[in-house]
Amino acid sequence: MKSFKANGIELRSIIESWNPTKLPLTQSLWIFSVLLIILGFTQIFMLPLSYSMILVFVGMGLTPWFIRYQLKWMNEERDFFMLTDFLQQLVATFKQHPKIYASLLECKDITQGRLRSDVTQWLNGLEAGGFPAEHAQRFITAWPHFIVGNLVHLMIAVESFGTFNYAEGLEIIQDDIEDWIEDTYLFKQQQLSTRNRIQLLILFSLGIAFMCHNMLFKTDMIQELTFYHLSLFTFLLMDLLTLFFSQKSISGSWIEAREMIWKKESH
Amino acid sequence: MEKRIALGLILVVWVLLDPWIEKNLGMWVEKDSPRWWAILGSEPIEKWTHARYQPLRKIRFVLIGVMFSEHFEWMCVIITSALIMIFKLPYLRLRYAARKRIDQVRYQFPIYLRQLQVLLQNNTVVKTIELSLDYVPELMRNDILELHRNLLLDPMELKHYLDCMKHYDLPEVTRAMKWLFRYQSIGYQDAYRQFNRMINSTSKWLRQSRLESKDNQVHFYQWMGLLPLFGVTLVFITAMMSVALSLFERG
Repeated sequence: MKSFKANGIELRSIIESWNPTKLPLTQSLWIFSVLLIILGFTQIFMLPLSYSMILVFVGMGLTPWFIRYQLKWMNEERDFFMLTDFLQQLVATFKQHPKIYASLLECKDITQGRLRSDVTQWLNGLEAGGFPAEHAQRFITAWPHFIVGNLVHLMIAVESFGTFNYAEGLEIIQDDIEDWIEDTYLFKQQQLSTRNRIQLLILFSLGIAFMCHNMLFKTDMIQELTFYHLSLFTFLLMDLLTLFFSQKSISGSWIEAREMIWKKESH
Repeated sequence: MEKRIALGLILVVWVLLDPWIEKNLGMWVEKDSPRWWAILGSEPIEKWTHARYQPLRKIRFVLIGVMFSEHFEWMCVIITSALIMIFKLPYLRLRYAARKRIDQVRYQFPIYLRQLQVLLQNNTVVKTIELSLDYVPELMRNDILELHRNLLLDPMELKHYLDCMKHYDLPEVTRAMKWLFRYQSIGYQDAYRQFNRMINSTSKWLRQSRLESKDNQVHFYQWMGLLPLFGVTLVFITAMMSVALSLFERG
């Protein structure tokens, strides 16, 4: 039930983020071009209809996934930068005026979607009264990254007990956020370039197969094509699946699961 | 024939020696097993060594079938290798799981340390550890609980710090624990300098763990790029085979 709900939320947020004008055009065109080239090669290689149909169906079946992964990338990117912007702003505001409610209120405007509703919930909780730590805990549950946890715990400690040196603690957290953004962004760029390299290799292999095919049919020395067609079919299927997995590689979360250390403990 | 009789005798002796073997299973345990076990389990290692021997007790009777086999020597080699493998498998699994745990600790410890550093801004070391107990990662909860218990008894004892997470044998952890001890025991000015050094070092460590983990993820997908090239090689070989076959058919 829990995982179903989680998938539902993920799917809903992906659908909500659907905006064709936002979908990077060059990225999408590039992927669909590669997909069409692979399928076009079924005709160039004169594959039997049954093989061609299977490849077309596989290609059509994979297309929604390509779009889904692309949208997930955009969604994750947006959430990540929104969260880090929010945290940076929160640290800066809290440094000047160490009150959680006032800082949250000031930073609420730069948030959207899930983050905004979690911040609003936290603010509503503070307005309603009770233990401030309880409301903050709900926020940590929703965003269980260790930097979020560290910041929230420090803010609560400062507000509850007061201290002179809290600015240094906030600076440590600020440095952590900057390192986090830098490392994650670099990694994501690396992932993109790996994906593009894999897709180029697919095109390169198709080129080699095309030359080989041309040479073979110029000699007119081939009579039995069944086995040859089967190997071509396997090759094109392999290319389609490689294209799929290369696209899947970019769909991972921007927030490292191993850094969400309070995921299990939170209620 | 003599070899088959010898195998039968070995089997009989093995069965007769069972009580002695069971008592002295510690002799056959790999040197590093206790360390892996300490990292993973809370039960005594004797239970594990005992459970590890049980499949061998049942499977060894396959050797009776080997005695009557046509390919006696080959079967002996295969079955002996299988028995060794069955005995080694739990150890290999244990080592793999323990290494995975160490890897997780290496990743999560600097994160936890960062939390301590933030809490240390306002608190003493013992109070900081106490406050962190609610949020300590599950992997190291027992170790930190034990450290806290010991520190309540004597916070100025270096041994308590050094004993914490000792079984992981991670130099980074030992270094961090020494820092914590120094922070607890020496004056504010010196401690402040130490503390800044500790923060810088933890930042480096944290980033290094993060980058290593991300590099591993990228490398995994980089191998995938070889698949299309493997596929085209297959096509090329098939095409050449088809040509060769056509040539042979034409004579």
